[in-house]
Amino acid sequence: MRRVIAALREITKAYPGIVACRKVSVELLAGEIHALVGENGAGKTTLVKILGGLLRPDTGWMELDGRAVHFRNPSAAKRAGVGVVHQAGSLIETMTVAENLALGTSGRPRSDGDRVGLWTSAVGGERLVRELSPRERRLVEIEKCLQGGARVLVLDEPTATLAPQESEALFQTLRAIADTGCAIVVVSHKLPEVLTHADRFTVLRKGQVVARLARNQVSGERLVQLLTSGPEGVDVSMRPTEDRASAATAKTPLLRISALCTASNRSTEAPLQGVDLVLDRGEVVSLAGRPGSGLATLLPILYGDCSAVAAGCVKWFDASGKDSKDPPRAIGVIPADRLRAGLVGEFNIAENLALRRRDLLGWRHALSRRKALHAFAAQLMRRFGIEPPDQRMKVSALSGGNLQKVLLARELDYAQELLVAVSPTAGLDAATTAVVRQALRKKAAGGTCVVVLSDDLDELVSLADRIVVFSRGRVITELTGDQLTAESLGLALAEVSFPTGVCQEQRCQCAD
Amino acid sequence: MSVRRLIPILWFTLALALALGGVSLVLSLLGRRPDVTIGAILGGAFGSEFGLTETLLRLVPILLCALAAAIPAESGQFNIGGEGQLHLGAIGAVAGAMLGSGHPPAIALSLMVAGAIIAGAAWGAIPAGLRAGLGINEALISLFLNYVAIHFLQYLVHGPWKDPASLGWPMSPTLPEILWLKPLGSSRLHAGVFVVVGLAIGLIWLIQLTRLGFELRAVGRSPRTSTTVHIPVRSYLFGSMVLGGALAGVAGFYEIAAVQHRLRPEISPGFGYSGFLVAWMCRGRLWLLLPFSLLVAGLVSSTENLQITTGLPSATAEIAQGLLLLLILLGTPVVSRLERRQAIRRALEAASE
Amino acid sequence: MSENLMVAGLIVGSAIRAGTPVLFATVGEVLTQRAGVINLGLEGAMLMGAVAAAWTHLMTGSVLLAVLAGAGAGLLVGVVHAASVVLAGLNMLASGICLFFIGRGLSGFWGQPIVGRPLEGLHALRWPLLADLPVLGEALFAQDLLVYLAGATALAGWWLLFRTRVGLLLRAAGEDAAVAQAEGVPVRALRVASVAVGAGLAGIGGAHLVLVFSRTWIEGVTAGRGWIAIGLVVLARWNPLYAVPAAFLFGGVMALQLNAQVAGLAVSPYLLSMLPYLFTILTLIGARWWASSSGMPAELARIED
Repeated sequence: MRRVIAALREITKAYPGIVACRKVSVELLAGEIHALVGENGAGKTTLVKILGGLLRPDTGWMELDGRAVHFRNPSAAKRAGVGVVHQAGSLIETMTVAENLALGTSGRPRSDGDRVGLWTSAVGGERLVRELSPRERRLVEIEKCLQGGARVLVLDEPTATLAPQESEALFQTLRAIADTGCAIVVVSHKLPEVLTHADRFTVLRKGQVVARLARNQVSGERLVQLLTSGPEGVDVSMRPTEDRASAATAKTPLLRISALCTASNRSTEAPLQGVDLVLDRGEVVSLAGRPGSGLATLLPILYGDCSAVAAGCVKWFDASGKDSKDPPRAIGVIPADRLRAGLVGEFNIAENLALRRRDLLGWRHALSRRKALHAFAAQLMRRFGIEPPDQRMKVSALSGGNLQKVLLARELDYAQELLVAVSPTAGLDAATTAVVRQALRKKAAGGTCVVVLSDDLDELVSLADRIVVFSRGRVITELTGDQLTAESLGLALAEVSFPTGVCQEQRCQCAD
Repeated sequence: MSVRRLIPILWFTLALALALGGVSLVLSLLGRRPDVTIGAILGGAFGSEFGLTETLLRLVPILLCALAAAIPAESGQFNIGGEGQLHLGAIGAVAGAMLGSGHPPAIALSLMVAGAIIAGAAWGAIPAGLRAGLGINEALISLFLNYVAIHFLQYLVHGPWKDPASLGWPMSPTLPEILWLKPLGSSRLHAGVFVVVGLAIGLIWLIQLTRLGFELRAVGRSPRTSTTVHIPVRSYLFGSMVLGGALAGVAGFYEIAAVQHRLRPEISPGFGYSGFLVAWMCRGRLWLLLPFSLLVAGLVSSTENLQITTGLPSATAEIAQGLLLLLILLGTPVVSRLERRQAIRRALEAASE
Repeated sequence: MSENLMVAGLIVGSAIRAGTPVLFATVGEVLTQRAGVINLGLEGAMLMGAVAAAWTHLMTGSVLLAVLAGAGAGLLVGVVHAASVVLAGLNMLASGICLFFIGRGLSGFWGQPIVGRPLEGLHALRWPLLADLPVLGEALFAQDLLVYLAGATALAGWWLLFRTRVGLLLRAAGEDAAVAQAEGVPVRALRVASVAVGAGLAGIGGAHLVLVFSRTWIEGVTAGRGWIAIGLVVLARWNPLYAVPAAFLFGGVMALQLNAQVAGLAVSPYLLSMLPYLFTILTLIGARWWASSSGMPAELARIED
């Protein structure tokens, strides 16, 4: 019979207007992997924060080895033996692995290897964290917790940006750690993984525990049922079938890239080595690739900047399918860093919406008290349901969902032939995600080519008609139809297995 | 004047009182002139016709240097180099006068103005180019160029441009009187004050209400976004800094043509730095540039005159300005919070109508 | 031949001496910036340190007390900056510039009665035997105590930053304050301490300047050395050890300026005075070219955003 190392008893935590957790009780046993599953907003993150000492519960308490404990801050939690690996990661990018590990414990920085420890010995202590892959980072974080004396290890969405094989490897590591006597808590929305690896499950819905199950009592369908009142929204990689139907219609090309090579440079991004790519109007294409795969080198070319091109052919086509000498003039961009690269935080909503329509800002308009600007802004805000309706509100005060809506409204209005969206639904709740997805689809249906880039495999799969996979400066495969799943995408990204012979046709006929 | 605008004014008045009080405290602590009160300084600045004209006289260079710092500030840059750009402007003006000697005064004066503008702009172009082209921080570069400019002027007045008739004092020959800008009335005040005030109003209007100004402000507040929406960030970075240099250069021109009439090492008691401080006091609220320049001009003028009449240390003005800026900065979060509360209240009222 | 060597040694020695105040200030600013704070008021701290040292020396005749006073005055400036930035959340660039003006004004104010008064100052030590070595003798073994202290400070600074736990925490605060805070690093306390100590070191640099280099107080005696130190931090790639050659280079330029007339160069002294500033500008430009990664603490880069 396994020992209860830690427990949450009757935890309740409320915020103005929302009860995040209501009388939640969880028992964590030594040596087992415990999965906390639930939809967005079910209270998982709040529980993680309470476990980690970042939040104090309103009522209820935590137990450690049978004794009630109250953590005043994260340091207290760490000292007590609870280690949390947050989703966002808590490593200092510009310092080495060894330094980060030393930071988490009471050691002095040393340049030799023994600081590095069991689980990260393969990673290498002298490497800078920013050079590590997502899997290696997770390992370092776990190592840091363990070296700090953690007996309870809490991981919040540890496999969010990992490919399935990497997730598998991580879980095996977790199993090994559990076997040493730790209690491990995994918070995840990836049901297939936790179904395979977790020993017990606590299912949360709207802040309450709706079920406690052991592995032999559970199946995918049962979990889905418990999590929501319906099948929608759980497995984000499932797409409504009508989306897939539209992928079948024939399309006119917008851009053809053939045998593209770029000059090699000193950056960590791979130069392109013979890339073939076709972008058609009216489709949603995902471009997938790990950092360093060459996507960052490709991006300026999509924007029309061919300065880095060393060889190969880049051909744009106009609406009637004929060659066009120049790239399209109205390329929309939705960057990943919405507030800092897409909007001007200190400007208000109207001014931000006008960033692509600066003709509305001239001094002549100033004389008419900017009526045209206000009308334009109001129209866009109505169309996309941006609240609050006061367009003079500073954008930095908006919520994440509204920020993205403003950005989306502006770029969708502006873009004509091409729209490039980077991580468009990251960090958004389900309702806003649906709005964004619908808007992108609608824009594609209107004849624009929408290109999506993201680290999140589920996001890539859910948004696109087809996925082009990059690695080390080349296109290695393209996924369409039945192969459009997170599983195959993960396999392809890790170059374990992918459909071959599906690469772009070489239809370019330029002389160089 | 809306309530929202009154909040910062009230705070700044309080900060001014505190700054002057602080100066009095420092003075008395250091055992000097405890009887110099706020009243003496302010009275000297604005209380008499003489005081007022002296204040307005200094408004010209200080307002110009404030603009010289404020405009690059809107693009996110620190132009601490106003002092050096002023010096270069003065040098350029004298060079223009030398070039135009023998020609009709209209041409000579135009050459002086042109020389000042070009020299000041060129001095500003150095940090501008380094920043826009290479991404090197312009603050330190423009600051070091101040020292270079001051020494360069020293070199000129001790060397090639030294006035042989000046009995060993380092200065250039006096400008011919036809090139002197005429004073208004009996004081030293000249018509340049109207030009400068008009220029300030025009530039503020440009920044706040035109498309050019909008793009400039966008560059300053979010260069990455500006790049995304195809605003030419580098052009604005470079252009605003060069414009700043030109404006400070014009200040140099006025010092030569209207006030001092010759090049001397003491051409500026720190106008460039005062202008920079003023610009920082008014950050985000350009409409405050005029009143604050006036205030600081009064401070500088008054303490300078008190130095002559009562032996008040000349560094008083510097301390006062530094203190004033510090106090204003300390109050900024409070002021912003109050302003925001006002704005929210107004929005709620508007929504309930 | 030996005369040339002697002259060379004297010039090198002069360079080291001239660079010492800047070395103190540079090491101080490296510590400050490593913690994630920029102190643009370093010039003000140096001036306050210089005037405090001058006064104290005149009143007590003691060099030790003068240096302590200099350190204390600099420390005070640092504390004000730290309080504004770390505790009151003021923009650190603006606060530093304010302190530059206030420091310059206050020191000019305070120093007025003693302008030009000669100071006995600190004299050089001559190591037995070693001081007679060619070149190196004059350069390294005939300097005053503070020169050796400056070198020791640079070494100590390096050791602190890279070999102790405190240094690790301090660097963490400068690389990613949010993460460091979450890890329990006392970011605020570390920043206050590093700003204060950094400015205190600059104060010592100011003390050395008046006690050895100029042996008197004049208004603005530092002539921008505090600013040059900030520029040299970039050249030193935020490493106290590299501050030594950087400051030495600067000292070399100063020595050139001072000795050019003696050497018979017919250049106006005012043009020569421009050299240190031009040198620093060039190093700022050069640092951009030859370093692919600058070594700048990441938190500082975030300010620019």
